[in-house]
Amino acid sequence: MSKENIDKNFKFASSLIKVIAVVIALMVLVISRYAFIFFTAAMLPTVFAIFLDKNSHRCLSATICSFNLIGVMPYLIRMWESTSVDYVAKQILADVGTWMVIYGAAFIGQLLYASMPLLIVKLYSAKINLKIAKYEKKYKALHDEWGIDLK
Amino acid sequence: MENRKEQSINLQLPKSQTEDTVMNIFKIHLNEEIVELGNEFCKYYYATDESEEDEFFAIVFENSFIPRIDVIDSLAKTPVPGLNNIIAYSVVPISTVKEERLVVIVNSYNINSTLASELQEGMTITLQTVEDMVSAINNILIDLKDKRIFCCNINPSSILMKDGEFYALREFIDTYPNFHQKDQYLAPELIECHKAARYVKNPASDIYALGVSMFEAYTNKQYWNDHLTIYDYNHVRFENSTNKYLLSKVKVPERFKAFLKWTLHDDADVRWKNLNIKEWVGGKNNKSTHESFADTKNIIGFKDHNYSKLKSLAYALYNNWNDSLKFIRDTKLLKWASREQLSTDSLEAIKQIVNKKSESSFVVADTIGSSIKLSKLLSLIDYNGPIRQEGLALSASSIPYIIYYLLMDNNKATIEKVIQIIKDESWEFYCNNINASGHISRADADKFLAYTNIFQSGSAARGIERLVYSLNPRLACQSKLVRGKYVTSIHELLVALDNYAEKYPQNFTIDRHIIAFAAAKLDIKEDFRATILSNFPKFSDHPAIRGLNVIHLLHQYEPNVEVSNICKAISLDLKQMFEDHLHNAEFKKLTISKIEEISTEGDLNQIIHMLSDQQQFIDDYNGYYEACHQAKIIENKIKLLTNQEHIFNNALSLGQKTTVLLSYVLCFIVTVAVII
Repeated sequence: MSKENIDKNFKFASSLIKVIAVVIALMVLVISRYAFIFFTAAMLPTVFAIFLDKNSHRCLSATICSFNLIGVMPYLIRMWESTSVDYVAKQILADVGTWMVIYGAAFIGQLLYASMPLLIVKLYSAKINLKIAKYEKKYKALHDEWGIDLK
Repeated sequence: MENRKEQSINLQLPKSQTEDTVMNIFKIHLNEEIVELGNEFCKYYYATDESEEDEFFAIVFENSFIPRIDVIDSLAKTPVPGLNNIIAYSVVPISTVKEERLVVIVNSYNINSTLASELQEGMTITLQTVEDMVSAINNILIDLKDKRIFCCNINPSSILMKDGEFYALREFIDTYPNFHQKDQYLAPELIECHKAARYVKNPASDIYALGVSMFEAYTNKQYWNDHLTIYDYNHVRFENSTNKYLLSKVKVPERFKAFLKWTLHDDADVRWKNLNIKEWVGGKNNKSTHESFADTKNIIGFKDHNYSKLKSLAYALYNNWNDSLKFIRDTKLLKWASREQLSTDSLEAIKQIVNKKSESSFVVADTIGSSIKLSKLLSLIDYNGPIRQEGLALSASSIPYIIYYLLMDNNKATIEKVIQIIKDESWEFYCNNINASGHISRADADKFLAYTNIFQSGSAARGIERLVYSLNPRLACQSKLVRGKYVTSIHELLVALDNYAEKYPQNFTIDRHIIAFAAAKLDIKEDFRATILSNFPKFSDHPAIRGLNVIHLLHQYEPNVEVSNICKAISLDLKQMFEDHLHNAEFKKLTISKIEEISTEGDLNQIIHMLSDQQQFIDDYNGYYEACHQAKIIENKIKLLTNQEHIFNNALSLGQKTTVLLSYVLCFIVTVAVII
């Protein structure tokens, strides 16, 4: 698969989670007004992330959206399983702990996004250095055998 | 090959092994130079034989001079009475210059006792003495003619005297024919010639020089000194005819007048031959008819002068070439020529030249065409003259000398003119005039043409040096590598090169002279084919391989000559060449060690054998280019991998994508876990 196709597919993948979030929002709107208010407020980090994301693959917003959903999903399920969605939604909205959990999850996503790529860079560079050493050894062998000096 | 070898053997000169001694008999006294006799081509020294009783002169030639070996050999073997004897000759190692030189031993004579010195002292030469002198010199000329030897540089300085009588004619082998002859002694047919191009194969010019010398001897007058320049004298003598001009100046006895009239005749066809002089000496041909200056008055004007003689006009036209190009278009020339005693054919040819319009509209082509027409015209009005072109006149027989002289003078432009003269067969203008200096025998003409047809400028084996060696088979090899050795054969060349290689193995590079000399001796008609490593121009064009090719060829011709030092010297160059041009380290090391091994044995054939397997060099070549390709790929990869920014961006992108994927996985797990 070409690099262009991979990029295209990844862009689609990174958009997918946001589409899922929008679909969930529409479903929640149909079920309960309070639940929709809760979901909208809970997904505010994702909204901000979408506006602030300058990455060509929109990785930041995708990561924060995923972690935002991780934080929101238990509460949505709780509402879904309750007999009165409005009632439960009001309770959840009023609970400070709810917001700490939801925004905390989004914050963890942000932290992960900030640290994980750097870790990968370190590992990747180490792998590249090994590759360079291998090529240089091969080049030196050619030089010694044939007296090539192209540099 | 056998035939060529015979030719080469014929050229072998006797060689003396003892320093400064000719044929182990004649000791050259190098501290006793006779400066008065020397010239740019040779030096004279006193010499003595073993007994040290008899004194001789030793002529030590410069190696850059082309000696007339045939003449020297012939005169040494059968001396001509009256001509100073050549006693011996050989190539001798000369201690002062540390070089081998050709040395000729001749009888000694009193250098201050010449006709010129006696005339200078104001001595009177009687008519009887003059007649005796004429008789003696004429006999010398007859003997020399029988041996086909001409151009004896006769003049008062070369006539040796003893007690007021003729003693001998000086040897004339110390210079090129007529090279040092002063203008007044030069026959009209040679007057325009370049000083190195005055050789003719007939005695007419010698008879003219004899006539002038005898006139000077009897009258002790040098009327040519009355003129501001020798050009003025030449103009006057040709305008009046030499005989009429000189005889008008002084009264001489009737009998002597007849001699002068016919020996000083400007027309070589009419000039007396040796037989006529012999008859004169015997008392015949004593009468001379009266002729005044006013005999002919058919005048034509050219450049503010009037001309009434063909020779004087031809001389003026040649010396004013550019003006002549315009002049020959004038129909008055044709009218004038028609009143001269020219053949109908010549007149018709002149008419064609004068009337013929230029075929080209280009100015340059027109000038070239006019120059050719002028050359042709000069050959018609001065039918015994030399081959003339703008700025160059030469006798046809002297082409070998002049072309060599010009090469030594590095005068390439004039060399090209001479080559063009040969290619154009310009001597054809004079084919019917055997006394013309532009005349040449068919055999010589064919030889010159054959050598010139293989000439190719720029080629070492067929270039100008080759042409010079082919035209002058007696010329010693002029290569700097054999400087100090007198090399005239392949055998001597190999020996000399081996000596050089022993002394200077680091500087052993075969030059153009060696290649040209070898090509001429072996009569090679093509460029030297690269037989060693011929598939590799990089190797076959290398001086070491080119040198090896030449040495190999020479050694095939002379297999008995020891060339171990040449092998060692070439091995050094080959080692350096392989060091520079072979690629595979192991193959290079192996090849160089093989060469080192062979060089100690000094066997040329082993080197050739080693280089004959070209596959190993092909493998090296192909392997190198494949390795280069691989190296380039690796280099590009390394370059890509060492681009920090690119690597960081890639890694960061990968990290970001991984983070997204990880977050998706976690989201999925949490969702599933919460639902369950």
